[in-house]
Amino acid sequence: MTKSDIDLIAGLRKRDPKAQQTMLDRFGRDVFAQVVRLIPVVENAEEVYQDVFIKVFDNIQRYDSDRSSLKTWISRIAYNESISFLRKKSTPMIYFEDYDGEALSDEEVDETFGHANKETVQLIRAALKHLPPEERALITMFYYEEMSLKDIAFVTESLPTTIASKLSRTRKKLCRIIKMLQS
Amino acid sequence: MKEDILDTLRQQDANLRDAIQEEEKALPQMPADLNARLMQRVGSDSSVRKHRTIWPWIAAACVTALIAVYLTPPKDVTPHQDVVAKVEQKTEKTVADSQESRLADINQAKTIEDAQQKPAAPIRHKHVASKQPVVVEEELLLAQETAENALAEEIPIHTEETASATLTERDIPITRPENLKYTPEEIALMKQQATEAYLKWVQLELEISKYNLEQTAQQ
Repeated sequence: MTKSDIDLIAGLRKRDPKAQQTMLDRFGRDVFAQVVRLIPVVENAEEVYQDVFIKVFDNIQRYDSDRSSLKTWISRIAYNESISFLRKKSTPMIYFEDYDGEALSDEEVDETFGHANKETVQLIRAALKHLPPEERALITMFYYEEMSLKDIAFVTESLPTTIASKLSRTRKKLCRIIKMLQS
Repeated sequence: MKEDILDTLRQQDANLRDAIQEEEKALPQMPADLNARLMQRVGSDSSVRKHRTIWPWIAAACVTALIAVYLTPPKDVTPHQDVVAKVEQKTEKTVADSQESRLADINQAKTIEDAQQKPAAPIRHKHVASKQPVVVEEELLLAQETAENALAEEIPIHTEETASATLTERDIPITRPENLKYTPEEIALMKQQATEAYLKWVQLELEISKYNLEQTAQQ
């Protein structure tokens, strides 16, 4: 942990407005992106974003630097707030459910995601919309934010092994959606 | 091991990474004033929180005090007897009042009846004017006697009613402050007991000092 992080946490614990503003400047954009990824309606995302930071300011005393970085800890709060918001307020959505239909080989999956192809990229983007928010968040945390399995497990309150198997399953699921969209 | 495999997958899945990056770029941008609004909310929340931390304690203290007042039993029960006695006296008094009024009614009724039954009375008045008061007195005495007899029959019933009537908590609430006061008799008794106790203590002290003197004299 850097000295600036330690100073920031100390300021937040004293409820210093300057520290709070620094916190928002440093992590605000990432948190908003994370929230809006799960809650596409901007008004709702703004509400959740505010709730996330109020929770962060209120619970900063509980932050343990040995367990995670400050960013990961905030991500965890943002993830939980977004998921609970979705469960409470948003209308239930029906997403693509994996089924034991046509079995896909690992080679086929690797080929779909591996070889650079603009058409496939567009297909993957379309397929991502058919994934439930939790799985979409998982894929994004792993591929876009390049978080480690341990950090993803901390954010989602799960185990790294569970995250690994979930990632593998989601990858295959995406491939199956792409096949479905192609057909 | 699993992490290594997944890391290689992360590197391999170029299409997936590109797709996610494009998706991220397409996401709505964060409003510029969002942080300012949040800071405003944080400020207002902290001022509200100051009030919030105080009022539950005040409310809890008030509730506890009320519960204590209602649940704590009174120190002494004797004041109620006094109140009961007062109430009984009152009821007896009212019974006596009613008896008097009834007696007056009976007297009135008797004279009216007599007046109706004896139409020749006015003629008597004319002839034996001097005897008239005696007749009236006799009539009055007779009426009083009958009324007293009637009341004597009625009174025991009333007293029985008052004796059997039990006063409930609703009639004499123990929570009233006047019911929790000591009566003059009780205060006098307490004073007497205090004086007796003081005298005994003085006697004891005297005995102790006498004993001490004796002991020193023997030495």
